[in-house]
Order: sequence, then structure tokens, then C-alpha cells
Amino acid sequence: MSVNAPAHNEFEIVVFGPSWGESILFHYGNNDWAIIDSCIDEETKLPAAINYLNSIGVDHQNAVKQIVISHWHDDHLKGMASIIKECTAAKLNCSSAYFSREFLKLVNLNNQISMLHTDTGLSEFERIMCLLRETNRKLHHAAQDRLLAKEIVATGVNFEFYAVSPSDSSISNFLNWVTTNFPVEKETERKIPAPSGNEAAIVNLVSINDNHILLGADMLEYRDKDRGWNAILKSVAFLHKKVCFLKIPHHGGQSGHNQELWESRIDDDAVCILTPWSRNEGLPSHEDINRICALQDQVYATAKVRLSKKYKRDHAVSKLIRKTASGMRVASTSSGYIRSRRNIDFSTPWEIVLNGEACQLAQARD
Amino acid sequence: MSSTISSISNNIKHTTENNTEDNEVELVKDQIAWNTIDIIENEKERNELNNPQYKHESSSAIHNLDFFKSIEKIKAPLEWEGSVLDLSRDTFTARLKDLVDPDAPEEIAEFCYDDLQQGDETLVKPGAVFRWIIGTTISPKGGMNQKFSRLHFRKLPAWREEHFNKAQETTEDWIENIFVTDDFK
Repeated sequence: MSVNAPAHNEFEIVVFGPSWGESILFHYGNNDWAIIDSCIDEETKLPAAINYLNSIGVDHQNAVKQIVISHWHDDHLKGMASIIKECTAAKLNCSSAYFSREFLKLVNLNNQISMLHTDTGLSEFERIMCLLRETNRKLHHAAQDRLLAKEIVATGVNFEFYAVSPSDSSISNFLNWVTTNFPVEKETERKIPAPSGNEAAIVNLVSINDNHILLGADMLEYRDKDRGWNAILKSVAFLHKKVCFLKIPHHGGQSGHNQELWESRIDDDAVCILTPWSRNEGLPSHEDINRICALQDQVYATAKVRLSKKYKRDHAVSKLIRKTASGMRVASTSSGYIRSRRNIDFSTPWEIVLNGEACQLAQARD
Repeated sequence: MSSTISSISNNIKHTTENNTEDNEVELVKDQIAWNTIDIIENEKERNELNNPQYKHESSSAIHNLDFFKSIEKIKAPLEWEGSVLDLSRDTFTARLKDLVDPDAPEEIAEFCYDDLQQGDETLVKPGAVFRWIIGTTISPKGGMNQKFSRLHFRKLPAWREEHFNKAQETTEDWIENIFVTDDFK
């Protein structure tokens, strides 16, 4: 594995996962970097993106200029507070859905639950907010068609960084969920469960002149034309555009699949990357892998889809555990990352390097 | 009721502190303290609210203490805090934090509703919090040792007006000081 930093005139994108989560890091020239979400490296307990930047000798404190919190599920958020603390020069972008008073009150109420040891995405969100308050830093809106950054990164090379979701309708649905799940006075305290849909998530579009990269977060497909992928395909920033790189949404699962996106908005030679999900039956399934591999050739996974390992305990203890709980496994799994690099003007093809457990998608499941 | 509980709790602590046999861990004081707090909290709630729901919860917690009352020691107890992730017809999935081994990673496991204590079924909801304790009980006066595994859903206190007031206050502070609305130009 080569661990050299990209040159000032090279574009690089790195997808990490899953270990515990999913994270994306990209270099858009001149030692300027962006981080989307957080993935914790199980060995070092540090965010994978920070580990990577350290390993290639990049001063992350000054080099990271953009951070995106795509949504508050803990597999995307865990460790984000430490990324924000470290990367003091970064502009922080967060889904507009989370700017509502009701959601912020939910975060604050979750923090007041008595004597809890377990953590949630909301706890991490609360840590982020407290950190921002302490350090007097600001959080910026991100929603459909919002331009997060724009720069000329080399002669004749324009860089634009957009949010193409959430749509107004998705924000509205998320706020309905918040209202429905809002605690009621005199009811027993309980942890706030994460919403099952991810429609408040930020999907990002990175454009370098006429070359486009779509980072699909955990976005799902809905029948409603104003929500999820249907809304994204109609967004002004993404209208009539095809992508040369896709971070496949929602771990490659059918629930995040939009046929129009795959059939008409992705270049034939595009690079497509997913991070697997190992809970329950795991994602992607065999059917998902077959479906995606039939649509594109250059498809990769950052790790194999396998059940998490078991935590080693004394035999007698394990026997007793099995009597009550079935399939007890470590929540996080092995991980890897995929680095894709090309010239900043996209005049050269993608150079792909697989690391750790990363593999071709066709080999991702035994 | 609180004084009775304290006396039970002290009695158990006293018994265990007098025994130093290898590999036998002192009865988890936190566990007793935790049950005690639960009951006291619920007692307070019941007095405040005069709500029949809390009578049921208190008796459930006392039932739990009765189980420990007859025990001299627990050998190598293990304890997790769980939070419910998903429900299915016969089982529920939970995320677990080991409260005894701080180095243990977070784990996920599936549980049957059959293993719950009576009355706890209604408490199983996404986000609900429970304790899972397993070990071997050693009965007083040479009685039979027994392996046990118990799930106990925590009877957390109720949301109070001050929780909402505090949440409102912090939220307004965040909105005023953290969020930017005049974004990228």
C-alpha cells in the first residue's frame, strides 16, 4: 500500500468502513480536504479519516476545510465530535432537518435520561453541540440544492460541493417523526430510538468542471416523488448530470435502490463503492450483489459482508449466555478502505487502491 | 418502604463483605444500589403522581430484590446494560454494554420475550433500557448453588416538567449561538 499524500493537483477520495460506521474523505486540490461522517477504527479507537490523514503526513487541523454530518445514526456519527474538535479550520455542515427546535429539544431530553451507560447517535450529536458552544463555532445548513463550497482549485478547474438532499418534503416527514416520538411529560423515560428511514440525510454532489461524484449516504427510495431518491434526481444541482463515482447508498440494500439513477445517471465506466452492514442478515445480500454487479463493472466493497466476531469469554460463561441470548456478537466488524485518485482536472483515469478487507463487490459475500 | 429496602441491601452487603474466597466476587453492590434507586424513584413518583402504574413497578422491583435476599454470594457475576433496537414477534434485538469488563466491546444479541420477568413484556419498546445479569448464586447455610440469568427492564423515572424546561433553555441557547442561517455566498 502506498501511503503518500496526493499531490496538490490530484483529486483523491477515500471510503472507510464499516468497523463501526462509514466515513468518506476527499482531497480537492491544494491540500484542502473534506470529511463526511465518522467511522471509528476499532484498533486505535480514533476516527478512520483522522488516522488516514496522520498516516500520510497531512496536518488535519488546518487541511480539513469541510465537514458534513450526513445524519444522526450512530454508524455515521460516532467519533464525529472528536473530528470536529481536531479539525478546527473546517466549516461544519449539517442537515437542515436538525435545525428545528423540536429535534434539538429531543437531543437535550435524551441527554437527561437517568444513569445510562449505552450511547446513541443523539448522545454524539449532543457532544457536538456542546463542543461547538464551548469553542464558539457555527453549524451551517445543508439541504437540497444548497451550495456548500465553491472554488477554483487549478487553472480552469472549478470545484463545487453541493447538498442534493434532504428535500423540503423529506424534512417535513422527519419533523413529523420527531413530533410522533417526542417524549410526553409523566411518561417513563426511554432512549429515543433512531428513525427507521434516512430521508433527512444529506446526499452530496462533488463537481469538478463537468465531472460529478455522488455520495449517497444512507438515502432510501420512496414511492413519493418528492422524497428520497426521486427528489434527488429532480434537484437542480443534479439535473441532467451523470456521475463518474458513486458511493452506493444504504450499504447496497434494495431499499436504497433507484432504477433511474442506476440506468441513466451513472457513467458506464464509473467507480461504485459501498460499505457493508453486518447486523442481522447483513447488507448487501446475494441478490443485492447480483443486481449491482449486473448494472456496473467497477464495483467494490470496503469489507466483506460477514457476521461480526464473538467476544471471547470463558466457556462456562458463554454457555450460560447462550441459554438466554442467541447470536451475541461484537457490534463492530472488520474494516477496510478504498482510495481512488486521479488528476484534479480528471484527465487521467481513476487509480484504485484497496486496503484491509476491501474487495471487489462480487467477492464480498461467501 | 425505602427503609426496608435499605435494610435488605445492607444485609446483603454485610454477608458478602465477610467472605473473601477466591474467584467469588462480592455481590454487585451497584446492582443492589440500582434496584434501591429504582424503587425509591418510583416511590417518589407514586407519592407525587398517585398513579397506579407505579404500584405495579415497585412490586416488580421488590420481587427482584427478594430473589437476591435469599442469596449469600454471587460467583463471577456478569452484567450488561442493554437497549432495545428492534422488535419481532417472538424476540427482540438489543445492543449491550458490558458493565463489569470495561474493555469489552459493545455487543448485539437477540432475546426471547419468554425470558422476561412477569410484567416486563409491556416495557419492551425500541429504546427501552434493561439490565442483564448472569452468574451463579451461592445459597446461605450450604444450600444448592444455582446458575441464573435474569433480564430486568429498568423502571426509569418519568419525564418531568423541569426536563422539558431545561431542554427548552439549552435549545434556545444553541439556536442563538451555534446555527448559521446566512450561509454560503
